[in-house]
Amino acid sequence: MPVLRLQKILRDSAPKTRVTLLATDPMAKVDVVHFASENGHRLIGQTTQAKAAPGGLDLLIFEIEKA
Amino acid sequence: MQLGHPKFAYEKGLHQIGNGAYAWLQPDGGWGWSNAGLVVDGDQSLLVDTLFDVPLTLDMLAAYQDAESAAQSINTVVNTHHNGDHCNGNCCCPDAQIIAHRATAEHMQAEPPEMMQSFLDAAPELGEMGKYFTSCFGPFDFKSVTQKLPDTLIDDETTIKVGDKDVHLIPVGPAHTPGDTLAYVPADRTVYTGDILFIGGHPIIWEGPVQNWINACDRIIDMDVETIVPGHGPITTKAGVEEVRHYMVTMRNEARARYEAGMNYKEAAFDIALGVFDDWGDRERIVINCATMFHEFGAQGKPEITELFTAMAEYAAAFPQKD
Repeated sequence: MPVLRLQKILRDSAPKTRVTLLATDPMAKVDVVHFASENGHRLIGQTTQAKAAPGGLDLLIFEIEKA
Repeated sequence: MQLGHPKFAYEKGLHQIGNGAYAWLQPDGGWGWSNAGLVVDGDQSLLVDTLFDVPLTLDMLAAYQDAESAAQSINTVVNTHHNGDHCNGNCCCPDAQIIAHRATAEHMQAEPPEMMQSFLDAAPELGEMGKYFTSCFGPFDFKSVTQKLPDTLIDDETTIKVGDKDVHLIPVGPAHTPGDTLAYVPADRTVYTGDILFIGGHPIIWEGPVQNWINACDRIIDMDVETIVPGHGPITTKAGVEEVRHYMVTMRNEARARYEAGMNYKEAAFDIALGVFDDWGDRERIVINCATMFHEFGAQGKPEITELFTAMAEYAAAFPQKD
């Protein structure tokens, strides 16, 4: 669950900390963006590397700055 | 039960309430198909809500302008809450003062139209959830929207003027959303309720607590009004408000019994018999409603948005809407 892991890391981080999140679940494209926006964190970047994850899955890379 | 006001057909477009009050209706009132209002007095005009995108809002404004010269330039917009189907069209009123509850303004910033568009862009990769999401929000043109945020914030009950008319802005949230606000126009014996009222469709309890929603219904029932314009569905009377109140009391009881029996929110949603509300539209919203109520009862955390929409897609497939 990418959002749960992100939530846990951000909870223990100082404001303005930047976190890079790697995910393969395509639902993260909605859930991570929604979580960041709803909680005031800044989504700095979102990219996809096609078939770059194990099993030939797309690798989703999110960069988030804690509020 | 027929809940529409007998004086007004439930048809798309402009409906004249009288004395310079209007409603704009968008059947069938499902996801994104919201209602709005116009209040005029003399050369002054006020909108209650704009619509989900620019083309829909421009159509509405053209009809208002045909009906009332005071609508040529809108002076004031009140957003009843932050969901995009009630505020995305603010950018069509560039010279208007935009008034909303502080929580509405905060949540508008957290849910910009670009985010909805990004979800729609991702939807083709998201299986049945993506199809369901697209069926709900695909008809709307979010790319047309430039978000225009409120410039005047209220925290408490506030009275503003449209010409000589008072418009009472009455915060009643959090219920549907954190900043829910009623717009009550005593001179027109009319209240615009935003999404405190879905008539003929299942309400969406995004926020809760449910008791605030029940209290909001009681507040409307106590008003000296003849015409009640809901956020979705036909113009109604106090009978419609009573039914929404009945829904809230009933569903809270049903959900609590299942929470105390150890079910999770999804099991509860699929288990609850909708009874007299079975023929209301968008029945799958019971999933969101159970999730929110379970959180209110003490369940830890809230499900992610894709989990909710996945469960709603499953519900809609399992219990197709009857015609």
